[in-house]
Amino acid sequence: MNSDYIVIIALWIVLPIILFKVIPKDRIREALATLMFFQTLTWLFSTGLTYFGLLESPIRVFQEATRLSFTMEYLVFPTAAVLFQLKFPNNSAFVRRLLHYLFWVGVILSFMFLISSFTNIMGVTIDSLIRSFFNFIIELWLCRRYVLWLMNHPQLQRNYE
Amino acid sequence: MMNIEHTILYSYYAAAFISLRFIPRDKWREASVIFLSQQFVTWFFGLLVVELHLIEYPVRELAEVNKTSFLFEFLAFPIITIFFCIYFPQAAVAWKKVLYTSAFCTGLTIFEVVFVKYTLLISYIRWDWYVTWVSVYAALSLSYFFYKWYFKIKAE
Repeated sequence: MNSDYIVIIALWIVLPIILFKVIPKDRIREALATLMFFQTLTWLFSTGLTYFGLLESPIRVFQEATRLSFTMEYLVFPTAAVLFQLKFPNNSAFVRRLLHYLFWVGVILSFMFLISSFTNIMGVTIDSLIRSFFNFIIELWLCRRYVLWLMNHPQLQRNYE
Repeated sequence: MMNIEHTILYSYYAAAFISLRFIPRDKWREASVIFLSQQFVTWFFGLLVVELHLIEYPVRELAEVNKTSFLFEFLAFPIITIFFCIYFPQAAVAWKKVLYTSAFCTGLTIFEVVFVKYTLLISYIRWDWYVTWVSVYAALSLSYFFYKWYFKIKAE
């Protein structure tokens, strides 16, 4: 079996376990909303980028049904978004929050770079990394706006006692 | 000559956006969660049925990127699920709930069968109308349970 598929299988085992471990019980709804909203964003963004030939993933799970990397768009990036959201420094100064954005976008870009260096799961070039930098800043920001808006619902507000 | 498939697709996109107007103002948060949870399901299963050669969508948008129906999986079915969950007869007796869900399944299946017969939007390879019916029933019920859990709605 191709080593790329081993990486894909490993991701599908490890990342759900990480999610299961890091999500506190009282924030499970917030985490799920983040995960699902980010999936919608990556679905849209990756579809658009692939359509214009700006993104490619040679080795993928649904080889025939789609040209998107289902593993990256459905699992890896949304997982990163959940971690970003759970660790967000809510009451900190602007610079601290900005650094949080840059740190997690850095994590995502490094991961993309590693994946493209050692596997064929994703083809990444310098310009696609630069595009991704802006895309992920925008996506994380949108995702955060959505989750904050959603959590205003009376049934979803957390107790801070 | 009219291109029937693309006209239908376009009408469906328009109908999907117009239908958003009929989501009650105070239910937008609920609606968004229902929408996202259904996408979580349809993205995966939509790809699966195409990959396993069960269903084919000869005429579709974004044909170079996906062999699935982006319209149905990303927009149409999640929006239908919103209305299904928001207007679910929660206080009714069991058989009325079954009837309500069955009505949605039957409606969707009829549309699909018509499209299979008369258009190139969708064709069955190893599939049948009752598989659609059952899977829609399962997907709608699953979404409703998730919605009830998410917003801590107690059974009456």
